[in-house]
Amino acid sequence: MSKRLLPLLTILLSFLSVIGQSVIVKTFTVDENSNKTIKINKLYKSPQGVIWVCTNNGIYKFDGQQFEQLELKDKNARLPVTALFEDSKGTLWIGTEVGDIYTVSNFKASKFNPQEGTPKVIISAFAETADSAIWFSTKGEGIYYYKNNRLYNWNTDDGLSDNYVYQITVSGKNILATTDQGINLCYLESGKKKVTKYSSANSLPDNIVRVAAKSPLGSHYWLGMQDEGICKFNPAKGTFETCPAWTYGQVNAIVETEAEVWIATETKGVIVYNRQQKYSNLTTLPDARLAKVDDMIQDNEGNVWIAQNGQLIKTNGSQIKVLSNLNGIALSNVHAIFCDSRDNLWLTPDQGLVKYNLTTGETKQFTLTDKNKLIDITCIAEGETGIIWVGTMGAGVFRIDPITNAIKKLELNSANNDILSLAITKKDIWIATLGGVYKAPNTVNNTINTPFTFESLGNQNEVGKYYVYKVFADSKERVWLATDGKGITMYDNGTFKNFTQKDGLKSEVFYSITEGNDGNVWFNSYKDGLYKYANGTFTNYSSDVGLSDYEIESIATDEKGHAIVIAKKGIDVLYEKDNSFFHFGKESGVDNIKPQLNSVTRDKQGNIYIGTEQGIYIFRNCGLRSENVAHPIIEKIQLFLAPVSFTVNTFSYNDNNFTFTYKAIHYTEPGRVLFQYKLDGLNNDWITSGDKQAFYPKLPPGTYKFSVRASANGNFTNAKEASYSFTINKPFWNTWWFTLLVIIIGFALLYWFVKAREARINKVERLEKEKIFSELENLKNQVNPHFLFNSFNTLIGIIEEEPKEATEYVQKLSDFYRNIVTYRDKDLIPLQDELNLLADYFYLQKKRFGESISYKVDIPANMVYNILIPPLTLQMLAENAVKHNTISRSMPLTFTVVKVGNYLEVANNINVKITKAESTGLGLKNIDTRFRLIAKQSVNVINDGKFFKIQLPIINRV
Amino acid sequence: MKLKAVLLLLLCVNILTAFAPAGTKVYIGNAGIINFKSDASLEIIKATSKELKGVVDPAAKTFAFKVAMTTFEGFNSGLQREHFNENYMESTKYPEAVFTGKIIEDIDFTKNGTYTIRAKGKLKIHSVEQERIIKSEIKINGSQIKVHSNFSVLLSDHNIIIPKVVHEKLASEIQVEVDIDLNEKK
Repeated sequence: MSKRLLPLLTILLSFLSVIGQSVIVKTFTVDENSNKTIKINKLYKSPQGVIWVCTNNGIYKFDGQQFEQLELKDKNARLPVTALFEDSKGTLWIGTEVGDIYTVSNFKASKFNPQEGTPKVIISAFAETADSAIWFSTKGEGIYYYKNNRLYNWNTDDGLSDNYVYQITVSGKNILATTDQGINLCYLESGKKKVTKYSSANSLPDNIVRVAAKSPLGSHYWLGMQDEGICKFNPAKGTFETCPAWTYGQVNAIVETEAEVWIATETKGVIVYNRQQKYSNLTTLPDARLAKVDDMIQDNEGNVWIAQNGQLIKTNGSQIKVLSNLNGIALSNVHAIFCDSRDNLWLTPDQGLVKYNLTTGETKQFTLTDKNKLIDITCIAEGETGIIWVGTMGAGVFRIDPITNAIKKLELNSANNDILSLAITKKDIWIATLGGVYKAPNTVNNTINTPFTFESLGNQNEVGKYYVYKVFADSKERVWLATDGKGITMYDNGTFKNFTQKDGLKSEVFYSITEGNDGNVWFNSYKDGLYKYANGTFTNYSSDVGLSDYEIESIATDEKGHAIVIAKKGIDVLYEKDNSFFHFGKESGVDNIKPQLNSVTRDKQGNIYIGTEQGIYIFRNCGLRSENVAHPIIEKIQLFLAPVSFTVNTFSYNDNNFTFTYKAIHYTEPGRVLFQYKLDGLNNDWITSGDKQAFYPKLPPGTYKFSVRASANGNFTNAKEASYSFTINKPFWNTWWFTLLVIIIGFALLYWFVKAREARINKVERLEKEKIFSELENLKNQVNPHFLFNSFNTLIGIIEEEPKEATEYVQKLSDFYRNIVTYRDKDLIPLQDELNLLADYFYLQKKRFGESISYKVDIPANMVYNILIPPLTLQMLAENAVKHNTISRSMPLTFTVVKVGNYLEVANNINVKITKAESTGLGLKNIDTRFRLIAKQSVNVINDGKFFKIQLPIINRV
Repeated sequence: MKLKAVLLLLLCVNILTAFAPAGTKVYIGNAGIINFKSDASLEIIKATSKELKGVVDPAAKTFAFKVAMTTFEGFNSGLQREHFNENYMESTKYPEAVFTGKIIEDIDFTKNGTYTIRAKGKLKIHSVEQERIIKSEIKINGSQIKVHSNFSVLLSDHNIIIPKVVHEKLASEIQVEVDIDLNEKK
């Protein structure tokens, strides 16, 4: 017996290990244009989730569609890179095969050149501790750490097990280092280097530990060894958990998904280690790829990327697997699938019926009807006694005993044999047929032989004569009916309740019903998407929140309560928190897999089995995906197409031509990503675009915020945003202070101008006034009756004696008056003119006073035309001299005009009149004022008792 | 004076014998030049000692160098030198600076040529020990090696306290330059 069992068991176990092969989606060649053979040394995932590829030809950033080589603008760009790291400040650390290290910060690359020098061996890994120290491991010189601008070494002299260090990672306060002599936990304790060593002496299976992969699910690490495969390491306890014997050779990388551990090997491709502690080869890798795998990484969405032969191979990881063959049974056209409480998966490939035990891997085939007249199985259900109920299209219902596997056809009496759906509650058995819905009271301890009496619910108004595609019993013993034309009907404790448009259902046709662990009931409508029933109300989820396809074939929920929609175009997972669907489609290899109507079930582990035309797809919504939306990243900011550092936010007014380059990381479906961007400060509306660049030429000064958000399903409501704020300064002539300055200067100028003008006007006015006064004074003097009287008396005296002279006298008198009238308007006249006037005056006076009066002018002849003088000045002074002095033979009056320095000195001898002439003093004052206004100099008056001298400043003709 | 130097040298060798088995050949030098420079905003201070002593054991890759603080000369004034020895370095209490350790690289000392090496060790100044890696250039020429290196010393690393009033006159980081010839001794 045992001899027969053993090989059988081995076969069964080996079959088990084949279950579910991950879908290889696409292969990406790193640098197709490179004439160099690209060798991938390492894959790195940045804190933002971006995958970088380190190669013998520099580093490449991968966005899910293409590789972009990091341009360092020198030959270093193509160095053989063996390690990469992005620190908490965003600086990229690049470690090379020759020990050189480069940093890239704000698009500026520089060689890491500490005064301590750099290693001369391969840099194998980087890490950063909480104190901002950057650590790196080397293959030959141990570990280094760079802290406060100083580089320190940590090698075997400091307690490290070996100087050949494969990898370092941060584990709490420790640095976990894997070496050729076991693993070390290194930490600094008040500046002292402390090492905790683990080797084969501490039950480490193999001393050569090449890989330490931190579990995304717990605090443990997976160690990958040279010969002994993998083991689990708990750094807190210092304990190891070994795995079954390993025959796959050297381990190069380990990835833990939610369901499995994937192991990349040196010679045997990728090995998958499952929860049943079994290893299996990832056989979907093409044969040639069963060899060396250079590295492997899991992205933030749960996809696993395999680096091999200079290529990056995308797999869905543990999320989507396909099963096309089960123990030799081809799995096509699976119309119904059901997982029972005993971990049996019931499925119907090509109208057959197969029971597959998920624990043992055992399969059993059933024949319900004549093998030559196979009939479609439409639904499978389990009664509370464990009996499997199978509904067919045309042959009614069969019951199968789960222990004996005996089959018995159920007597349906008059009911229709075209079964659409089955549901069993403690109280009732429900059968939906093409001829309506039937219900029979359930009986305790029923067997496959227990008869049931079905009554038609055709008369029930809430059910009617409509087709019912699905009868579903929920966890609260309610039964739900998805009808074709009558909406949804709920049967609760003996009463029917119908939900239609009045309850918020847009559609009247429903196909599927399922329930989540949280008790929410989900419905799939005809062309109206998904509905949720919770707390008495329905909520619709359709394309506006990103549903990719209305042609839904089935719905399910995962163990966390997410609704899973299986449609023609792929699988959509609803994240209610984000009010958005995450889509798996073409780029995940699940578009057009032809899922069958309501052919879906879930096992205890949370795997969702989808029956399709081509086999069974096993979907597992791995919880590693922390965000269900595309994560946008602003990659580059350019000013006039030259890169700008992200730390620069202020620009001058003419720095106004901006280009923003952004992308969104969405490795699952990169082709579906759409962007919305806006520039607050310019336009507050989002612009939807597929482009990865936004261009803003000639931005006016102002404060701006560029924001970009991304979505892979067209729903941007909860989309993640990336933004960059900046300010373009106003030109200085546009600033408030400059405007203020200009206004102040303007006012000052205006004030000055007005004042100057006022002064000028005043001056002119005063001059005018003085002139008028002088004219008036002159006229007053000249028409002075005394002067006229005297003149006329003189005239009388000579008119008879010397008529000829009298004529001349009158002539002179007339000239004199004419000149006075002519000159009175003018400000200045040539001295000669004034002297002529004076000559006329003295001629007239001489006729009166004879030899008692005389005048003398001593001005060089060439000057008399060049010197100017206010008109009537000399005449007025002469007049004054005549007026104020006694003129007689004994006391003659001599009037002189001479040039003294810069003055014209006008003088007369003083013979004071006994009866003083009336003097206003205005004449002299008027002269002084005129000179001060015109020549800006005063007139000097000198009275020494003998002579009265007036010094007039000389005004030269300009 | 001479006697003292030899004694010191012997002490160096004694340090080394702890690392290296007796009888192996070592390189010894006792007239190395060590310069330091403090480049502060207000003042540049330079001083030199020509009494740097060193010993290198090529087999064990170990080395030891030391200099007596009082042998530094130069400075901008005699008073400054006095301050250096009495106030800052406390030369009577802590008479010398020592650097001992191991060379990271593997070098063939029998091959003439110039190599860049990194010396990892403990730098002890003012009695405070700091782990340091000092990048040096060594030139091997037969039985003689020439060592040249530049490095900096943070005063705070060695608990050398500078009064606030001289902060502008004294750099917190001192530039050091070392040149020493070592000759093979069996």
